[in-house]
Parts: sequence; C-alpha cells; structure tokens
Amino acid sequence: MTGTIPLGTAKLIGETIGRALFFPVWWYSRGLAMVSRAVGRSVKNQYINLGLGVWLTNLFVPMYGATDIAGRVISFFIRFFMIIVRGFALLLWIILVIVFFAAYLSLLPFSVFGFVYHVFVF
Amino acid sequence: MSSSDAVIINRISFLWLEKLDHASRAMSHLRQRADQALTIGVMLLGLAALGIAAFDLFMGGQGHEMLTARFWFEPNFTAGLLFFVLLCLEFVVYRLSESSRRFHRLPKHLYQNAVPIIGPAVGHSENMAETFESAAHKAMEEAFELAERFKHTEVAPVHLFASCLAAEKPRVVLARLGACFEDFKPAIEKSLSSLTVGDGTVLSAAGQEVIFRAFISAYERGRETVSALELFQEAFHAEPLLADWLMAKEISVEQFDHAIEWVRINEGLRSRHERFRRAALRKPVGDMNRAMTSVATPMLDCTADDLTVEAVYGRLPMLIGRDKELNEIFRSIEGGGQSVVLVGPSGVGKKNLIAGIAERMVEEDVPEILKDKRLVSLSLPTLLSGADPAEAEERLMIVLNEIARSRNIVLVISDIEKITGITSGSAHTMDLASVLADALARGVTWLIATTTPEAFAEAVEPSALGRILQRINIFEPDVSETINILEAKMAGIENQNSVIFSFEALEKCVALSDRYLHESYLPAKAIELAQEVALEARQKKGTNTLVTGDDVAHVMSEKTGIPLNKVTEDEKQKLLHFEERLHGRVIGQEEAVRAVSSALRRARAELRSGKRPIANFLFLGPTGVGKTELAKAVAEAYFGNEKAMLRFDMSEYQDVVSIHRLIGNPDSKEGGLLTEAVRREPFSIILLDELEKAHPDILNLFLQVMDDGRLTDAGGRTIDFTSAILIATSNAGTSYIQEATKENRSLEEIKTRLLEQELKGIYRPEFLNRFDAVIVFKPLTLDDVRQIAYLMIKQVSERLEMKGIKFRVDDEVIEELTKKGFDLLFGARPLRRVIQENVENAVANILLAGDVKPRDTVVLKVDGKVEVEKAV
Repeated sequence: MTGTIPLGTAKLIGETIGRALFFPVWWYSRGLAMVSRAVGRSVKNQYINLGLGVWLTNLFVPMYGATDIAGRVISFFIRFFMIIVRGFALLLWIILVIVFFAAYLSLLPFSVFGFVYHVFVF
Repeated sequence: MSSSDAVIINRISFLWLEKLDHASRAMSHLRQRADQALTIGVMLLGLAALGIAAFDLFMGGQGHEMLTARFWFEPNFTAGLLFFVLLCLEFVVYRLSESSRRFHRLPKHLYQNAVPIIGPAVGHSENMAETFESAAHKAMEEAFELAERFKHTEVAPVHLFASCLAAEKPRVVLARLGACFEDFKPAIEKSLSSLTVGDGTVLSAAGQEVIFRAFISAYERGRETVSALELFQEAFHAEPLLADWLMAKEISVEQFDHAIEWVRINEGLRSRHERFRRAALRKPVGDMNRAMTSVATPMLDCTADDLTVEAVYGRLPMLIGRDKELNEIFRSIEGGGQSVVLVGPSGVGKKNLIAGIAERMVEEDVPEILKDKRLVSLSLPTLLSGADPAEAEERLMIVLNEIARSRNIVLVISDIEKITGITSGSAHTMDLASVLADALARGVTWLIATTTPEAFAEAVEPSALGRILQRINIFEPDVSETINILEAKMAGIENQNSVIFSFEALEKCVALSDRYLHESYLPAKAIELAQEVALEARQKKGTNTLVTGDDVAHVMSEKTGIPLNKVTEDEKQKLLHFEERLHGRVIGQEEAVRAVSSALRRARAELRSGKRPIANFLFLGPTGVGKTELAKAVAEAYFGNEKAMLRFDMSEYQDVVSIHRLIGNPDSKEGGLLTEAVRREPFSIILLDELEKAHPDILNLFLQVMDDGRLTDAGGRTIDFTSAILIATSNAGTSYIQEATKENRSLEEIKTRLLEQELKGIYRPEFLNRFDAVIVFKPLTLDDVRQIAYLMIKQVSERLEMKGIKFRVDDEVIEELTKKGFDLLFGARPLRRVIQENVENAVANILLAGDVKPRDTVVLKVDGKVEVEKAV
C-alpha cells in the first residue's frame, strides 16, 4: 500500500504531462476532424437555408403560376438570376468557412511562433 | 456469462473495460481533479497574462499601439503575452472539448441492423463504459462502493439498483409511482444481507448481464448514450425481490415499466421539439412556397386554415405513435397519387394524425411530392354558410381553381360527409361531392379527408368521392398505447393546472375511461378525463398537488354514479354482513341470498370479469316466494334505495315490435326504455319480471347483454351494462318445483331436472348458460310464513309508530295469521291479503272511529279483535 501511493502519484503526473503534450497532436487530429465536420455541416445548412436546391430543381417551372410563354421565359431568367445570386451568397459563405478552416489550421503554429518570436527574440 | 463476454453489434464487441475497484475509482477521481486543475491552471495563467498585457498597454497609455504593424512585427514582451493568451485559449478549448468527448456514442440503430447478441468477444473491441452517461457511470461507481462497504465479493444487480436510486431520472420514476427510497430499503437490505462476504469485489455475472442489457436497451431505443434509466430498469428486472416488494405497494412490474417509459417519452418530446423548432425556421409561413411557383389564393385563405403555418408557430399537438397509419397515408399519396379518407370514430385521433402530417411537412420529412407544400384545412361551414347550393358550388369551384393554379396545396377536409348531397339542381345534377371528386380525378391536388365509419358507409361510399378516395381505417388505440399518448400529453395538462400526476392516476384515467365511458373513444376520453381530474384536484387540493388514483376514481364516480373509490371501513362491514341485511327482509332462500351477496362482494373487490354485467341471475320458483322481494332488498341494502332498480315486467314485451320500446325505434334514433335507463344509471339492478312471457327475440337481446355487457340502442350508442346486476325472475317449472318439494327432493336435484327438462321448451340452452347462477326459490314452509308474518306486522307497527301509536300483537295471533295465510301454491301472497283483512282493516276502523290517540297502544287479539290500551 505504501508503495502504491507514490506510484499512483507518479502515474498521475505522467498522465497530466502527457495530456498537456498531446495538445498539438489533438489539434491536428480530433480537433481537426471536429472542425471539419462543423464546416461541412455549416455549408450544408447554408445550402438548405438559401434554398438553392429548390431553385435549381424548379429552374424551368414558371413562377407564380404564370404558365404562358412570356411568363415561362421571364420565370426562367429570374430563376437563373436568383440561382446566380444565391449561388454567389453560398460561395461567399464557403469562402468564409474556408478562411475559418485555414485560420484553425494555422492558429496553433501562428500563436506558438508569435509567442516564441516576441518573448524569446525580445 | 463469463467475464470475456461482450455485446456484439455488427462485429464490434462492446466490453466494460473500465476498472471500478477502490484504487481505480480513487485514481479516476484524482485524474479528473488533475484534469480540472490543469485546465483551470492554464485558464488562470492565460487570464494573468491577459491582465499583465492589458495593464502594460492601457496603464502605460499605449493601447493604440496595438493597432500598429510595428507592435506585432517588432519583438516585444506585451505582444508575446497576447500570443501566450491565445495559446492558453486554444489549450482550454482542447481540454473542454476532450472532457465533453468522454462518451462514445452508441452505434446507430437502424431497422435493418443486426440484432445485438451477448457472447464471447470477437473482432474489434470498444469500451462500453464510454457510452455511459455521467449519471449512469456514477451509479456504476457507487454500486462498487456499496459492495465494498458491505465487504461483498460481487457487485450484484441490487447494488446497481440501489446506486441508481440517487440519480435524477430514476427519482422521477419513483415519484411518479408514488414510491421513494424508503419503500425499497427493506428489500434492498434483505437482498444485501443474503450476499457472500469476503475479500475483493468484482462484478458478478448477473451484474454484468444488467450492464449488457442496459446497453442493448439503449441501443434498441436509438439512444446515443446509456442513461441511468436503462441501468435502473434492468437492475430492477434482474432482482425478483424488488418486484415482490413493489407489488406490496400495489405497484406492478408493468406499471414500473410504464413509468420509466413516461420519463423517456418526455425526454424524447423535448429533443423532438428542439429539432422541430430548428426545422420550422426554414418553412415559409405565407402563401408562397420556397420554389415561388404558387399564386395567391384569396378565396381559399378566407375559408381555410393553413395547418403548416399553425405547426410552424407550435399551435398543433405533437403526434405520438401512429407510424403505421402515417406510412399508409404517405404510401397512398406517393405510390398511387391517391387521395385518402381517414375513417374512424370521433376521438380516436384523426385530427392529431393530420397535425402530425403538418408537422412532418414542416420538417420536410415527407415523400418528395409533399415537400415544399402547404397543408390547408378547408372549413366546410365557412365555405357553405349563407350560400344556396348554387353559390356553394361556385365557391368550391373557385377554391379548387385556386388550388389548381397554386400547385403547392394539399387539401384537408374534416367530416367530408357534409359535402355530399348538396346539389344545385334537380336529382340528377352534380352535387358538391362530384365537383370535388372530379377535381381530384384531374390531379388538381391531394385530399386528406376524415369521416366516421357510419358516415362513410351512409354518405361517402355511395357518392362520387367513395370511388376516388382510398379508405384508411383509424382504429382506437389500445390501453397500453393510450397510456403512452397520455404520458406525452400530460406535461401540458400538468402545466396548465399546476398539478402533478402520479402514474397510478394516469393509468386510472385510461383504464376507467375505457371501462365506463362507452360513448366516446380512446384516447380523447382519457385525455378529457385527465383534464377534468387535474382541474378538480387544483380546485380542491390547491396548486402543486399530487393527483392520485383516488382523485380519478372520485371524478369518475361522480360522472357515472358507480362506486370506484377504495372500499371504506363502513362499506367493508356492510358487504361482509350483507347476507344478514338481506335476511332482514327476505325470509329463507339462503342460496339466493348467498349468491347475490357474493356477486356484489366480487364486483366491489374488482375480481369479476369487466366485460359482463356484475352478475346475471335467474330466479326460478313459484309466485310469492320472495324473488322480487330479494331484488328490492338488494337495491335497498346496497344501492341505498329500493327505487335504484329498473323493473321491467316482461309480460308487456310479448310481441316482436316491443323490442323497440326497450332499445328505441330506429326511425326516431332515440334510446329505448331499457337503454336510456341504464345509460342514466349504469350502476343499478335490472329486474326482468316473468321473463318466460317475453318474445324470444327479446331474450336474444339479453343474451348479448349477458355475454358482452353492452347493447347498442337505436341511435347507435353503445350502452354499458357492466356495472349493472341483471336479475330475471320466472315462474316456469313452478308445478314441478312444488311437486318435487312435496316429495322432499334436494334443491340440486330440482335444479338439474329444471334445466335439463322443464325449462327446455321455454329457454334455449345457450340462454340459460349465460346466467351466472340459476337459483331455485323453494316454496315457503309454515315456519317461513310465520317469520314473514312477523315482518309484515312489524311494517304495520312502523306505520302506526309514525302516527305516535304503539302496536302490539301476541304470538297466538301471529300463529293464527300464519295458518290462515299459508298456501303452498301461492307462497306469501295470501298472507299479505290475510294481514290486510285481519289486521290493517281492523286498525283502520279504529283509527277512523277516533278511538285511538297518540301514545295509545293498539293490541291485536285472536279472531281479529282489537283493543286499545289508553296511555297513562
């Protein structure tokens, strides 16, 4: 019993240190997977929110029940325009998400570098 | 079960790989503390660095420098500190994310998935412990702690059960059951004391099985983690002593399981509501669909309610169950493009089903052709009000035209039968139903209509709609399903009335409404009863009170007049000595008195079959032996009033047409004498006097009453006879009974002969078989008649006492009256005449002559002489 307490303490300290050292590994493994999933979900949700799928599938369907030729032509162009606008909005969102993703990727080395650069060079 | 066993799902073995002995638990706690210390330490370090940096920047008046490139590019300590803060922040994110990631999720349970099996571990292994929620995990640790405290060598199911009692969800279950830890304490102590004591504690095979079963239960329910509830339930089932103990508290295993299901349902509803709110954000609430194909529908908007909008705003009730019916509707619309009519009695949940469809449409969890559409319920009264048939037809045409142009509308019409038979011209012109049927045939929209089975057969099926609508039957849910539905509804009822329902109360709402309210259907009648009970409990007991089964029984008793509360001490005594009470009025006839008393005791103790009247008796015997008197005595002794008896003289029902007087005339659709009387007073005695005189068709009617305990009247209402006592009297076979009695044959012999021979030509054997007891009333003996004479004289005495006059009759006079009144053929009837002539007439003469004053005593002497003893 007397031997198990120091052994346990040593194990505990070892584990805690291990956990601290695991941080960078986690950042690019589980952390990265978690952020990737969140990014994917966010793009998918935005796609649904913008209704892009609905607009694409109804590209040739006349709007507001206007089924005459003129109505159909106008509908097509309006839908086409709306798809471009909404597609652009989605693109912007994707860019934003990519920027966030890139920021995540670079955040750890960037902060380590910044810290080392300012503290140790200083 | 061996320690190497595992739960295998899709070739992945789930094993409990975590050690839970004292040292491991201590280590685990220390590990958690160290982990928390590390996270908090880094957090504090970061905050300190941030403080120093802020102090440096702002106190030195150089805050603006942060915005310059020089600050960031030229090495300086303050910027270094800020980068350090960022690093600390990243580390804290890492630690928090890791600690919340503690649980592995259970594999997703899909319909096609393999059934989980318990067996030797194969293939890839995973730690089951990581799928346990913190409360469940804590319960596991505490179970080991408990076993170690008692020095038990093994952790048994009872340890797991006891440790779960501290967790939140099991506590809710116990509260709903009206039980608490103290109730289980003796059972737990008894069970714990029987376990082996020794060194070292390991998980027993039974304990391991509990954990495995809890894991499988969570998996099969599609849960992501194993909660304390699964562990609690499985531990309970693994220890029979606990169930026995619960039974002593009048809580059955089924009730325990249902109460657990209640907690699960509430939990499920919360997460479903959250999911629904997120989905509802995307659903448009105006006329326009997301594809922008629809057009304005002004007429439809005036005459209809948009159910999808109602659902988005959370105004529709959530649908529980009914997956089969929903799938059937979707299959009809998606597969055959066919409109449907939901056919079911009112109250079985047709509207709720439609609300469920609206909800699924909001979530877009519907077949492709129903996506991005509105579910609109057309109000027929609004459409048709103030319009003649031609105008009504025009309005319907406009609405249908709008729907056709809009193309994003699925139509709902409740009570579709109202649309049939409205025609603008002569007999052969189109009616509204044909107009609608034509539009549906052209594929203008899909219709989801509702109607009752009677209306469908009468109005919808013969109309044009009958050919175009696919019938989907909506059946009344059974008691178990209704309990689940009510469990889901209960949170709303409880919140509205600020009361808390025990499971017993909830279950009674369903059971009693199912048993005694036959004019409406489950689940509506159970929900209505629960609302009524909640309101009454709040009014009588105040807010935040517990509604018990007795509260439900009380409300139901008030509604029906049937005693449903627990038997009181008074009533218990009354029932136990019921024979004595009846003999106060009925002389002799022990067998009959005993049979009736036992039937009432069985009924009150709820030991009888609930699907037949309390008892069906046939009283056979000569006239004047006490058959009707016994029925009257029961009505007075138990129902409190001689008039609580519905008496039908069957000699008035000798022809077949008189059946309408009993159950109502089909033309008027009103109830008959029998059905209306029983509907108003279901808890009563039905006395059918001289049954042999009734028409055979009427006997068939009672055959059904005795068998099913119900009868349908001319108006189509089902009348419940399960709380009534049916007593039929008959003089059939009288001559045989009298002869046999003279020959001193036993009652049993007389009865057998009667049933086998004498009654054969009068009643069909299957009719006689329906009676719980055929009771033969013996002809009265001289001794019986003497006792009856005493009773009758007592009645005269009581009547005189009301006038303040005393009445005395000597025993010789009684003897004289008995001899005069005794007649083997007519029983006690001649005695009544004798008493009238010799006693009542003589007393009446004295009273009229004015010879008697109050407080005087009238004395009846032999030979009908009457004397008056004046009061001193």
